[in-house]
Amino acid sequence: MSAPHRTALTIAAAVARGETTASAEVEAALARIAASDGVINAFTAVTADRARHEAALVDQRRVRGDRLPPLAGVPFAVKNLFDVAGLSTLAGSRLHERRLPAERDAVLVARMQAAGAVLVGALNMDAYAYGFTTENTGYGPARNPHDTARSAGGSSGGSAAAVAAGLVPITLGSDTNGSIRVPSSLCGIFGLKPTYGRLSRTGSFPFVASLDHLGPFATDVADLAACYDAMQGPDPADPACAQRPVESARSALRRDAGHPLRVARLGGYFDHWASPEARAVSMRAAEALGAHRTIELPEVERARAAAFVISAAEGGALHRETLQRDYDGFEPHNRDRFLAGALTPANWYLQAQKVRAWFAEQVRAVFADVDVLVAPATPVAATLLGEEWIELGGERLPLRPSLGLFTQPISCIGLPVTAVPIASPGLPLGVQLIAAPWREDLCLRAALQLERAGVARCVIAGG
Amino acid sequence: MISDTSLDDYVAVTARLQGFALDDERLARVQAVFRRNAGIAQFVMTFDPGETAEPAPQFRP
Repeated sequence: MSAPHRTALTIAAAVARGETTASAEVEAALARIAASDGVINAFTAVTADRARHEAALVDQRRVRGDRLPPLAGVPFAVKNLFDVAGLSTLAGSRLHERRLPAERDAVLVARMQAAGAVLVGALNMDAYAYGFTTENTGYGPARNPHDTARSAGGSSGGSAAAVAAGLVPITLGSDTNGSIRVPSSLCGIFGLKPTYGRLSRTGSFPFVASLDHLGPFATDVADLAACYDAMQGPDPADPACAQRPVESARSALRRDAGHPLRVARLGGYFDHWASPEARAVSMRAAEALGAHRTIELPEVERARAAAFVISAAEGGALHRETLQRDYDGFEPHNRDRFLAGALTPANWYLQAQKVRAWFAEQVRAVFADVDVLVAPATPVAATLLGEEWIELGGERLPLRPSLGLFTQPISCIGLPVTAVPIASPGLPLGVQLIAAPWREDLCLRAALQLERAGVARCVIAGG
Repeated sequence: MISDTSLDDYVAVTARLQGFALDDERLARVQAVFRRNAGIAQFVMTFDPGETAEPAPQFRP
C-alpha cells in the first residue's frame, strides 16, 4: 500500500523540521514514478541523478542550520517544453530529440529550484502544445489516472496526470488556449493560469507567442499559491513579461481568505455548450460562493474564433520551416493544421487581434462590479482515448477542439484563472474561477473558499 | 462567401510560394483544413469591433 498523499507545503515543513529529508522525498518520488508511470506515461524523462544531487544540497543546508526556502525538498516536474539543462527541449516532438541539450534551465525552473523544489523529470504533452488530449504519436498518450482508458487532457496532460496519480505534488505546464485548465478539469486537480505577462516564459518553447502562458498544477490551493509566488517577478528577457513586483498570493490569502467576494456565473454560451454534468458543477461552485447573478458575455463565440485564427497564424508561422524540411517527421495529429495556419492571410490575423482587443474591453467592464466569474472548465469529463466526436448543445462536434470551448475565449484576453476540481461522484470535472487582469489573488481566494467549504477537492487516483 | 474552389486554389498557390512541395494527397488534406479555418475566420471578419480596437504591437491584458 502506498503512503498517503502529502502536499508540497506539508513536505517542505517536514523537511524543515527534520522529520524527513529532501533525499528521502526524492527517492520516494522516483520510486512512485518507477512503479506507476509505465501505465500513466506522464514522464518523458526522469532526472534522477540531478534530483539526488539537488536533494543532497538541500539536506546539507538543513544540517548547517540554514533557513530553508519555502519549497525545500519538494519534488516537482515540468512539461517538456521547459528548458532543463542537459536535456533536449522536446516540446512533445520526436524531431526535437536532435536538438542540442539546453545549456541552462528555463527561468521558472530556476525560480522553483531557488525556492528549494527539486526537479525530478520532464513531462508528456501534445506535440508543440497544439491539442487538448495529449495523444502524442511519438511518445504515446498520457493516461488519466482515474481511468487509464481515458485522456488526461492536454496539452499539459503529463503535468496533470503526474499530480493526479500522486507521483509528484506539483508540476508546471503551459496554457495557450486551455492547456492548464483542460487537463486540470479532466484529472481533478487544481491549476493556475496567471494573467498574460505575469510569469516569465524565457527558456520555454513557444506555441503562440501572443497567447502563451505558463503556470502550476497542485493538489490544493495553498500549494498552488506557493508555487505561483515562487515563480513571480519581472524578466526583461521575455518581452511580454510585465515589470511588476512580486504580489504575494500567500500573503493575500492569509489576509483576506474569508472576505466575501462578488461572484457571478457565466451563462448563455457556457450553458449552451456544457453537458448537464459540467453545468451542474458550475452551478454548485457558484452557489457555494454566494453568486446570485448569471451573466452573459458578449460575442464569446467570436472571441473563441479569434483565438483560433491567432493560434493558427502564429503557430503556423513558427513551424513553417520545420514543415518544409521535415513534414514526414512532424506529429501527424497537427502537421496539416500547422501548415494550413502558415497560409493564413494577414487580414484574418489582424482582424482577430482587433476582435480580441474589443472583447477584452467588454469583459473588463464586467469586472467593475464583479470580482470572480464562474464557468465550467470543460464541457465534459475525460473522454476515451481515440474518441473523435462528441454531442454537445444538440450538435455533433469534433471532440479534440471542443474540449477548449470554455477556456479559449478566456485565455484569448489574458485573464487569470484558477481551475478547481469540484467534488462529485464519477469522473472529475472542474470549473474556472476567472478574475480581472492581475487579480490572481481573487481567483485564488475564491478557490480557497470552495476548498474550505468542501466543494472543491482534489482526489489522488488510488490514494 | 468565397467558393471552396477559390480557397483550394489559394492554398495551392500560397503553399507553393512559401516553398512547400505538397503531393496531391497532402495538398488535399491541407485544403480541407484551410476551408474549415476560412469558415471560422469569416465569423471573425464579419464582426465590426469599431474604430478604436486596433491590434497592439504587444498585447497587454
